[in-house]
Amino acid sequence: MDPATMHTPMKSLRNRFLLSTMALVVAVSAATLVAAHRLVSQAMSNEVSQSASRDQVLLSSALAPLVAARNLAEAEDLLRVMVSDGGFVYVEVFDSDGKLWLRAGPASPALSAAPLPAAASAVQRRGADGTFHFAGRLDLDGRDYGSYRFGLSGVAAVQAEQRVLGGLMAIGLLGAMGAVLLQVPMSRWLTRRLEDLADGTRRVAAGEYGLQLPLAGLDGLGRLTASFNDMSSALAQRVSALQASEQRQHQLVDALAEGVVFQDAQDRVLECNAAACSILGLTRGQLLGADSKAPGWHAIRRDGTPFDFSEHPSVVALRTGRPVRDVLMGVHRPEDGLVWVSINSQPLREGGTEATVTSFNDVTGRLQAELALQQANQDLEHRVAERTAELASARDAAEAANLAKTEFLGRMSHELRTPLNAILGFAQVLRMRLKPAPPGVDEQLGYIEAGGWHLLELINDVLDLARIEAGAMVVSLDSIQVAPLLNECARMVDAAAQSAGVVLEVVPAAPTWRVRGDRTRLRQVLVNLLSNACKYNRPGGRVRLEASVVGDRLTLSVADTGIGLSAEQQSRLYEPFNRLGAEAGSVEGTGIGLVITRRLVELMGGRLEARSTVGQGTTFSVHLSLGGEPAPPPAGSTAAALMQGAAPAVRELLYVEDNAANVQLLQEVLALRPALRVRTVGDGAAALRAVLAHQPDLLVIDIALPGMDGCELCRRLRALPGLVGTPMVALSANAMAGDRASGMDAGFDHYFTKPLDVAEFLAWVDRALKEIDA
Amino acid sequence: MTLPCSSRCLNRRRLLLGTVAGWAGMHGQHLSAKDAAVRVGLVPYLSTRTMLNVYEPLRKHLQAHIGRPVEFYTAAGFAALTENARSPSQPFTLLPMHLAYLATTEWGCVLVARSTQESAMHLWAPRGLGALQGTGTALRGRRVAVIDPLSMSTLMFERWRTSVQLDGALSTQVFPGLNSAVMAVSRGDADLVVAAIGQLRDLSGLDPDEFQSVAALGTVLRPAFVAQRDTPAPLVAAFRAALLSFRPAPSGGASSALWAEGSARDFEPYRDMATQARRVLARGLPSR
Repeated sequence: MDPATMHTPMKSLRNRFLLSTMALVVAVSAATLVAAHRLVSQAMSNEVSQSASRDQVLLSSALAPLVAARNLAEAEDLLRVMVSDGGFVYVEVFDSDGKLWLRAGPASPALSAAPLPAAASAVQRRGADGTFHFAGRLDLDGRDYGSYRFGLSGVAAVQAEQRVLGGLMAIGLLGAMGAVLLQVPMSRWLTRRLEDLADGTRRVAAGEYGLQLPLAGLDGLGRLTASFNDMSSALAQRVSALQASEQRQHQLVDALAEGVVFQDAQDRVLECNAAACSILGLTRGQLLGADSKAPGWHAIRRDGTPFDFSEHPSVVALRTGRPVRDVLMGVHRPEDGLVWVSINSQPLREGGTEATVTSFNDVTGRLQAELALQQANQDLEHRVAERTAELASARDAAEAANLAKTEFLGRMSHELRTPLNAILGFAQVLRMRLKPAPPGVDEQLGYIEAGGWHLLELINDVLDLARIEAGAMVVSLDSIQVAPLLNECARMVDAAAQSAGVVLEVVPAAPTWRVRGDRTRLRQVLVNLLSNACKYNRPGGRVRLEASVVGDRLTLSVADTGIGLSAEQQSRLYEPFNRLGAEAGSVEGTGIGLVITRRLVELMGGRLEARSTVGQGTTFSVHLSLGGEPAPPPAGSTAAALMQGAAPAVRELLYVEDNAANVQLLQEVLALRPALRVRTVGDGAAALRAVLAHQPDLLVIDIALPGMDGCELCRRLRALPGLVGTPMVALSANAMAGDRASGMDAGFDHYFTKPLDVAEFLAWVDRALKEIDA
Repeated sequence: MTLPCSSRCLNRRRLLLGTVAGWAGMHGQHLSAKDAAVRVGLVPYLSTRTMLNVYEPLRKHLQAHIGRPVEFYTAAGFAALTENARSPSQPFTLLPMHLAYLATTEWGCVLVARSTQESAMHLWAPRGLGALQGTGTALRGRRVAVIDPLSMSTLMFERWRTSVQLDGALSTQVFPGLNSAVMAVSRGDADLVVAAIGQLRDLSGLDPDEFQSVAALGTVLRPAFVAQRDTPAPLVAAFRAALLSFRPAPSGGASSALWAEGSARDFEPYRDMATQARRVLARGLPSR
């Protein structure tokens, strides 16, 4: 700022000082005038009031005797003198009736407005013309003689007020003029010293740090000058310290291996260190002033695409106000090729302007290592994918083979059971019908039936082993009460034990013991072990079945008193089809029973253990987990009378079967129930028509039907309104577990497998007829 | 702060009121404070101011001739006037003829001078009241404003009332002075007033033509000056001489009378009224 322009504010300051002083004087004078006016006015009112109070006493004292004496003339003279010489504007006297008695001076303007006092007390008010109006009662020796009014002129009070105010205004004016005359040189003296200070400030601002102004006096401006000198000295010290600090910071930044640049709001580089120049391959002169839009600046992303200016970390930090971290950027250096840098940019606000500090590292080496590692990972992933594909292909092939094996087992089961159904079925029918049978016939039919059941057992064992090996065996684990299971198994092998001359002993189990397992398969395990213990025992030997609990495990033991097994035999005990030398004996067997038994135990989460001593016997132990609360019991099935059962009325049974031998067999079986009329059809469509036409009471349906299979037919029949509760069973050679589950899901009440157990079938028929009749 | 004008006005008013109050309280004992002045008592048949105004030419004349200040005093009533007349502090007193007779015959006073003029006493009524002359019936029940019972006018009225047999028919209302009586009639507080024609003319602000004479009560001499018995003879002589030399203006009113030395014979016509006055004084009736 040049001195000419500096003087203007000083003059303005001086003028403001003068104006403010005058304004203050005028304000004080005005306030004084107002206050004085109020005080004078109030004082005059008080003076008049006090004077009038005394006048009222005197007036009353003078008038009352005259009025009492009806001395109107004297009273009138008195009033006239009061008005003419006493400063009264008017005086009025009223008699006790309020009637005007005497008056001197003009009529009271308040004659009709102001009330006459009712008692001796006086009233006062001031009129608009400044006249003070008073009124009072005329009282003499306690007697009321009327009242009076008089007015006192306020002109004197007003004139006194005006004189006082005039004097005060003159004093105020003189005071203001005096203040101005005093303030003019004082303000010039003050502003001159302030100008010296302003000049000193300009010199300091121009860099003349440490400037000292001459001290003049010890007043406020003198102290201000001293403070200025102190400030100037301190500023010089601080500037020196700041320059030293700046030098150290420059050295520190230059010592960094990390490149650092300071950029302004236009992204121009204002400062940089040596590392920044080195990393970017630029000289300091090239780098300073450059920005991200400079033509020589080529930056790319990791994928090789160019960096847009708006994406540069410093630009983003400026725009968002937030720091930007770890941005990877490839920079084409003028001579040294591409360098990869990792950039951090921090936004700054300095004195209201925005800037950034950007630092970066050369990560070219690290990036190349990462790229190599990434390539290696990609190769590895590629090889893993290839291997995974190979394994998946092998798995698919194995699964296909397994599926084919399962299908083969299913077909084998079906194809073997179908002829056995006819053999066993007719043998059972014949034995039931031929009662009494001719000599030897029943025995011969028994051989046929026994051979058929043995053949079925062999088939079942082989198929079970095949299912186990194929992983197709499924067990349904439940909590099973142990005691009834042991008794049931003992009853099943009791005949075999008797025929072998072996004593079967069952140690009663605690009624509360329960074991976790598949009821059918556990019964199969125990029957197999008991059967072996009976078959490979010595005449008169013993078989002992017992259960024990240790911890959370339950052990079922089958101990025999047979010839025992050697260690070598025990090591080969679970080899399929290896009968350990028994094949030379008379005992029939396939050599896969123990194999199936151990696999079934393992499927139930247990373990089969064998301990044997040659010559003393063998003990097989099945270790299983203890069971919890049992599942709800299935619908009770009581053994029905096979031959005695008879329906009270004729009922119709529809048999859907395409195999003539099977049709004939079932007709022969049901011929044992004369009250039951059998209708047969060969496929599902015919069955639907027959059902609509005849409404059968029971239905027996084969599964492997031409066209619509038995399960589909069952679902359609169940959908008909009248057949929702009709007894309906499947009779199929498809005996796999999955087949049975599919049939039950389709809606069959029971799933009979071929070869048909005639007795079991007739029991169901009798039970169904009984329920229908009920 | 000083308020010269206002303060002066207030003080002046206060002084005036104080003076008036004192004067009223003392029933007009003195009008001036100079001890050396010659005190003269006047018949209080008018208000003080009127009285002083009427007799001011005479006072100036006397003062000029005797060479001493002369101060005129009135009294609160006729009884007070008679008391003052016997007091040494008041050397000279103007008394109606019947009281002057008592003063010279019974109180030791000395006749100084008598008026040479007579006054015709009348019973007056406002003209608005209608014609009442000679109609005793029309006067019945009227209220008559009179001044002090010792006054000549009142005694003449009573004598006339008796003579016309209206004692019980006309009631009287006593007022301190003629001004007040006339004002009472003007206000309607009374119907008739007793006064001499000259007295009515002395009342400032009153037009005598507003009144009509209802009855003529008789003619009497105007009051006479008597000197208290202890009054020095030279002073009496000087006073008399001054009176005899007084030549009033033609329209001087009550004080315009010419004065003569007088004698005892002048009082003879008033002997009966003096007797009436003596009775009044004996009864101790208030004179106002």
